[in-house]
Amino acid sequence: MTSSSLPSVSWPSAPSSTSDAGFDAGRATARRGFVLLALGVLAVAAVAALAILDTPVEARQGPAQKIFYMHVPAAWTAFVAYVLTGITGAMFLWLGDRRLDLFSEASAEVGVAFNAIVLTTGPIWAKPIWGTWWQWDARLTSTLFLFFLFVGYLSLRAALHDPLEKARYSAVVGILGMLLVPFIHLTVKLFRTIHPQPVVANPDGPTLPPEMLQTLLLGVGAYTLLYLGFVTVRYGVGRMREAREAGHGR
Amino acid sequence: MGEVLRLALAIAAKDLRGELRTKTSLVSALAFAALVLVIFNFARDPTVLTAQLLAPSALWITCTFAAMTTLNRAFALEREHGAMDGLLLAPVPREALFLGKWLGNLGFVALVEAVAVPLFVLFFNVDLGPVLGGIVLLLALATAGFTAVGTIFAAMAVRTRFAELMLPLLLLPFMVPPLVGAAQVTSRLLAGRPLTESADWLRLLTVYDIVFVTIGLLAFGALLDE
Amino acid sequence: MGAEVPQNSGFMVAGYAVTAVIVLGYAVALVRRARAAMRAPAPHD
Repeated sequence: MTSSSLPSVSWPSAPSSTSDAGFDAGRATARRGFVLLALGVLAVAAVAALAILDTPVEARQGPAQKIFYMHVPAAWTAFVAYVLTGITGAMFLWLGDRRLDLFSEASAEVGVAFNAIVLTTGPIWAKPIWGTWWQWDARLTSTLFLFFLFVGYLSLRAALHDPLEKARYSAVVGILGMLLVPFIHLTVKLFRTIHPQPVVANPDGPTLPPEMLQTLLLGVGAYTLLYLGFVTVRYGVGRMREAREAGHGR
Repeated sequence: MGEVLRLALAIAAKDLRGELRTKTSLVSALAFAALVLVIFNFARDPTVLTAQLLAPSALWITCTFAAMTTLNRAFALEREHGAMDGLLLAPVPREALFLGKWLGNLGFVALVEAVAVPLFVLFFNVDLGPVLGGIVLLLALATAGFTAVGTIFAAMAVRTRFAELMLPLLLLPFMVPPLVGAAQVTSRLLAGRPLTESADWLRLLTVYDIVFVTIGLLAFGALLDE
Repeated sequence: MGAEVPQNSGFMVAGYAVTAVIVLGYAVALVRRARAAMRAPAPHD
């Protein structure tokens, strides 16, 4: 008959003790998330202060270069958020655990926020340094595509109403998106090899002075903590909402 | 394996026969392609942007839009007539279903391209003679790729309320690697460069096709099982 | 090295300000959503 063998999905049905347990778990998770979120925000603020006040100014680019310490970690985090969306979606297809799908959804929404940081700080940084608001370099281009992928993923979820369909379809979209990213990278690289864009100042530089590298790494750490905070709260919200919907019966 | 292929071809043939019987979608797609080409010609300053410079973009964007309009219809017909359930209840392996839908779409878009390309030669005054082989290869590689991804997304989009919006939203990012590759190689070919110089791009297109057709074969099970 | 360091702190401030708005804006919105979800009657109430 059919050749695929998906496991049955563990789906809370109404009304049962599972939806209560789900709601309480969601609430507890969200509360833990609040703490992580607060720590994350403080960490990012601390790195921002460090970057502005205590890190040396880059001689050729001036103070505007310091946007780098927010821009690059955000780009990295957005990318990780997307990969996690894709991976947990794939795991959901394999294992059937609804919580994986809820995490996938949470990571996608949080990823959009980090993506927004990259796409706004990018032009603000580019304008004084390169004179143009936009550059089709690998990082900005990939992040722009990530934005489209996130939006596609979230729009599809919003447009579907059956929870199982929603979870399955968005998992497939997530996996496809993950697979697209290396192709975009390659496309940009090939394009730029043939059409070299003027590289005025390579902001990352082949070697970053140790103080700058240190601030950058701290930035990555702070953003990771922030991501964990956001995603934990968002996941908690998802579990509470889903428990309530299950509790009211379908 | 042979059974899967046989079923797939049967599905593809049925779809193509259906589309060709009504002819409206074929004619609409062709008219649309012609219109896009015309607009490209006029929406520029001809002293600044020569036909030769614009040609690759015009050709490939036309093919993109033609594919998009086709894909929108890919599952819509079944939906309307409730034939989808019959198809799903029948013991058709999901791989065959994907393969059939994909080949059907590919066939239809290929038909549109077969008319769009001569129109393109006509309107843009490009001599494709010496590079025809390369162009056909590009058409095959690029079209195979984005119709494969488009078939997957069309299956999903058709279940949403605004399928005509959902499909492009999901699909357009995925069209970039094949489109960019095809356009780049086309402009090289038109400038007289040999095809071998574009080996990198051709490799990219081929790997893209293999990856996404494979995913399509695997994913249709997840999408269509109840 | 004779070149002067460019004076573009304005852009730096703008960049950090935008980041702060996004981070704090989303944080506040998310926390409010979570509190609202917690407050509403739970399924077993």
